[in-house]
Amino acid sequence: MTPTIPSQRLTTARIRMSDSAILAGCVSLVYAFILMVWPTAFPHLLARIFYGGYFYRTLAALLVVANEVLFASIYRRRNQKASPFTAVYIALLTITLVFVLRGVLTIADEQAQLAYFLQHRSLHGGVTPGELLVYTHLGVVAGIFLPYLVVRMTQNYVSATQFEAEAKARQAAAGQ
Amino acid sequence: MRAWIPSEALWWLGLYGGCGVLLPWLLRWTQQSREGLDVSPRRMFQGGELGLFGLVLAIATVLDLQRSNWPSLLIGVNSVVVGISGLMAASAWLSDYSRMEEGLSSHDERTWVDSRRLLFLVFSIAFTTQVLLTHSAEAWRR
Repeated sequence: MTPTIPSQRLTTARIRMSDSAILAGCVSLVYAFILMVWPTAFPHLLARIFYGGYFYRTLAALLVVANEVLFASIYRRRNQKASPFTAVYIALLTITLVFVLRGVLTIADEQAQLAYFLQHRSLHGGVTPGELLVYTHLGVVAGIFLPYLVVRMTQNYVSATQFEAEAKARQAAAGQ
Repeated sequence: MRAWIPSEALWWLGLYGGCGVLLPWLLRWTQQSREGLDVSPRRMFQGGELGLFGLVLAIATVLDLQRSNWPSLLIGVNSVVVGISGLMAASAWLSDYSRMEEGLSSHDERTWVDSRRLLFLVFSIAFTTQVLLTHSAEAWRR
């Protein structure tokens, strides 16, 4: 191993795991604050958005905008040129997480309806505004933190793979 | 509209913060101030120890979730998110410790920033989870 290769690898801009932690933490605290100020109105507002049918679209749009702004600010702070591929990757990961939340909420809704049916023999029930409140908080926090975590792990994997390929190429060149 | 202050959640988080950060810091401070050393939080927790506290906080939150009357799916999903953030916080300490064990140079500044930010994330999630637990318990009582 030559000493120039690790230093060359370190010059590439990298997303750190903690980059998104501050934003996710602040959003979580603001969420708690809103709930403390409007303990009744906020859950009902969320329920109205959810049963109105535009909950996931709104959540996905807000999260994608927040993540892209964060991504641009990270690269700007480090004076690096932002990669469009990484920006698209972050947007796709965020939308995937919203789909995962949708799946989880669908399962929760079915379970709640089934439990209500078994108890009362009528077709009502479903996810309560209180449960929706918790799922929304998880969706918002995970939607900001987890895409950056996945990007970080992908970067580690790609750099390790590249390093192995370079080492193999060097060995082959040395053998010839 | 009446604002609502979840005193129980504030009490628990004050306890976590006091026992996890303030108490160790004060102990170190009383110990080191006699020796005339640097006792700033950065110096105290430069090895990423705050990340370990993040893991402890995450475990405490998961245990609180297990005792709640929430549906099992909700407890499971919430525990996974809290657990991942706690593990990531602890990984800040672990990576620095591994570097030192291997004889590599320690990234003190980076480890300090990472552990501090990730602890803030765990703390925020834990706080909001406690608020949500208290809120749902009050709704259940009504």
